[in-house]
Amino acid sequence: MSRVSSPAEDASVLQRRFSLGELLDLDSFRDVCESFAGLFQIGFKIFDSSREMLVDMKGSGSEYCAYIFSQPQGKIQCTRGVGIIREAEVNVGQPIYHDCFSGLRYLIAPVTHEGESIGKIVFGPYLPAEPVENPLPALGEKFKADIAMRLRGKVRRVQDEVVRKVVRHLVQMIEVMLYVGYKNALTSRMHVESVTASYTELQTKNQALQDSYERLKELDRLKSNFLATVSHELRTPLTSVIGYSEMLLEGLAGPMSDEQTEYLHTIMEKGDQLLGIITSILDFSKIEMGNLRLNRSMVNMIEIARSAVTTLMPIARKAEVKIDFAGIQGVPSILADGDKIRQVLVNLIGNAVKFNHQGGTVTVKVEVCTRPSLEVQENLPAALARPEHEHVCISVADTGLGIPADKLERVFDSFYQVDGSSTREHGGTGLGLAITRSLVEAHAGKIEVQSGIDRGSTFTVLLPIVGES
Amino acid sequence: MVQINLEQREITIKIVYYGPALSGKTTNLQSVHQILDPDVRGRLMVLDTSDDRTLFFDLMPVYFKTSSGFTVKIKLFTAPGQIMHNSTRRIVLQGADGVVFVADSQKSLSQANNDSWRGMAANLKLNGIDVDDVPMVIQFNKRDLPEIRSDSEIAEVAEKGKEPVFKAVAIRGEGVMETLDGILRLTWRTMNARFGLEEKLQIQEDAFIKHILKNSVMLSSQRTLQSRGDSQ
Repeated sequence: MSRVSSPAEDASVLQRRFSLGELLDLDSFRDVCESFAGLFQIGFKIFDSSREMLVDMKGSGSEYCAYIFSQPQGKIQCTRGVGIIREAEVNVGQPIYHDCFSGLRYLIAPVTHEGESIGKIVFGPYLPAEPVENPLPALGEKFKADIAMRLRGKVRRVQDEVVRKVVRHLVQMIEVMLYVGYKNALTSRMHVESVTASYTELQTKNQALQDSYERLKELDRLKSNFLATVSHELRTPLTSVIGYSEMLLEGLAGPMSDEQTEYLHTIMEKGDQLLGIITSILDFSKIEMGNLRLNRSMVNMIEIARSAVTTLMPIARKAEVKIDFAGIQGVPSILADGDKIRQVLVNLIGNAVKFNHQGGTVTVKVEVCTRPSLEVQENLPAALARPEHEHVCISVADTGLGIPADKLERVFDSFYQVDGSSTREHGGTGLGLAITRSLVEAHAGKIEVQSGIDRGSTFTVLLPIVGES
Repeated sequence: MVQINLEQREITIKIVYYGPALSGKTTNLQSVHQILDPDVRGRLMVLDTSDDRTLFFDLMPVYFKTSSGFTVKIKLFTAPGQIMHNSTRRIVLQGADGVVFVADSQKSLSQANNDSWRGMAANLKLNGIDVDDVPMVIQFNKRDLPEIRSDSEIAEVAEKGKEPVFKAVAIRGEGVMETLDGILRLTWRTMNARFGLEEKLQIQEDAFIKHILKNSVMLSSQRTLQSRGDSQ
C-alpha cells in the first residue's frame, strides 16, 4: 500500500537518496579535476547540495585573489562574495554568472542526477573577455594598482561562451561519473540485500524443517509406544487362545471328533502365525525405542545356521523348495547373541523360501571372508580409513524372482514391501528385514543384498570376528 | 511507497515491471527509453549478466517540474524474471506504487505467467502490499509470435479481470507507451484519492501524463482507460 514516507524510513537501497560525495570516488575525482584545471588554467570549486565543498582547484587567478585577500577591505568583500557563491541557488539547466568585485567572473552551474540538482560547480575566477577595460577595485591606500595589474594580467582572459562550453563538458563528465558511481552503489548494496534476504529466507525454511523434523520424531516415538502397547495387549489374550486350544487338542476337556481336531489345528496354526506377527512388531518397537538388549556368549555360527535351516525345513518341503547348507570348516566362534542371530537367519531363510519358485533352491553358506572394516574411522581419507578385516559371512541365496534395482535400497525399510499392492501374493508385516538389519547392526555387523530380476537374491550377513577378550 | 517531500517540493513514484522470465520487461523499458523525450528521462541503467539476463533490476528515472515548482520523479524498475532471483524480486517490489505485469502471449507459457503472478502476489504480501490494492495493468507482450493466445481470448480475460489489459510487441515499441500511460494514470488516480496529489501539486491527471509522455502516446490507450476509469 502506498504511503507517504520520508527517505530515511526506507529499508531498501532502491529508495535511498545519495549525496554527491557518496557517488564519487573523491580521491580519483580530485585527480581528474586537477588535470582539468591545469588544462584550462582556470580553477573551480564543487559543492554538494548541503553546500559542503568537495573540490577546490586553484587556477591562474589564485595569485591575484591572494593579493586582494591580503588587503583588509579586500578580505571583507572577498568573504562576503564567497558566502554569496556558496549560498547561490542554481536551477537545473540554468547556469548563472557571478561578477566579483575584483573584476573577475565565475560561472555557477548545477550538477544533476536523475533530473535533480545534487550539487554545483563554481567555475572561475576568470577574466571575462568583455569589457576589455576592466577597472581595479578601490581597496585603500596600501593597495598597489601596479602589483594588482601585473597579477591580474596572469589571470586567463576568456569569452563567456567558451567558459559555458567548458563547464558543460565538465558537468557532463561528472554526470557520467555519477551514473557509474550510482550503478556501482546500487549493484553492490543490492547484492548484499539479496544475499541477506535469501539467507533469512533459508533460515526460516530451515527452522520450519527442523520443527517439522522434531514433530515427526515425536510422532515416531508415539507410534513405537503405541505399537509396543498394542502388541503387548494383543499377545496376552492370544497366548490364552493358543494355550486353551492346545489343552483341547491334548484331550484335557474330553475326546474330540476328527473334524473338531482339524478345526483346532487350524486355530493353532493361525494363532501361531498371528503371534509371530505380533512378536515382530514388539521386537521392532523395542529396537526403535532403543530397548534391544543382547545376551552375548561365544557361539558357533555353523551350528546356529544349521539350527535355522532345520527349523525351516518343513516349510521348505511344503513349498517344494530345496535348502542346501554349506558350513565351511575353520569358521571361528564369535561373541554374539545366539538367539538373535538365529532369528536373523530364520528370517532370511524364511524369506528365501517364501519368495522362491516351486522347485527352486535356497543356498545357505557360512564362511570366513575378507571385507573392509565396518568400523567408522574418522579424520582419515576414505581410501585409508577402512583396512581389510576378516569377518564371519553368512549368505542366503535364493533362485526366486529377484528384487528390481530401484527397490533394492528400500527393502530394509520398516513396513516396506516390494509388492505393496493390496493384492500382493505374499503376506507379512514388512518388518522382517528391518528387524534383521537392526539385529545385525546391534552386533556391529552389516547386511548386504545383491539381486536382479530373475537372477534371485543373495543376502549376506557380515559379523566382525570378536572374541571374549 | 510514494515519497512526498513537501519541504523539498518533490514527489517520487515507483513503478515496477514484473513478469515471468524472458517476457520482455527489459525490452519494454528499452523501448520507453528510446521513445521518451530525453528531457524527461535519465539514462537507462541495465544490471544484467553476460547473456543479457537481468541480474538485479533495470532502472530508468523519468522526471519533470510542475508549474508550481514541484519536482515529480518516476522511477521505472524491472524485476528479474529468473526463478532463482526471488529475493531480489521481492526487494524490487518493495514500496511499489504501481505494477505492470508483463505476460508472455505464447500459449505454452501460460503456466509461467500464472506462476509469476502468484509469486508476485506472495512477494507483495510479504512487503505488506495487498495485490488487490496496488494499481496494476497487464500487458500481453510478443503479439507478433505464432502460437499465441488469440485477441478474443485476451479480450475475454480483460473483461473478467479488473486490471486494464494492453497488447504489445515491445521489441518494436508497439503498445509500450500505451501500457506506461495506463499504469501512470491508474497510479495517479489511486495516489490522488489517497493523498490529494492534485491539490498538493496543483496539477491534473492529463497534465501530469502530458508532462511525461508529451506526444508519444496514441490516444487509444486513454480511451481504454477512460472507459474503465468510471468503474475504478
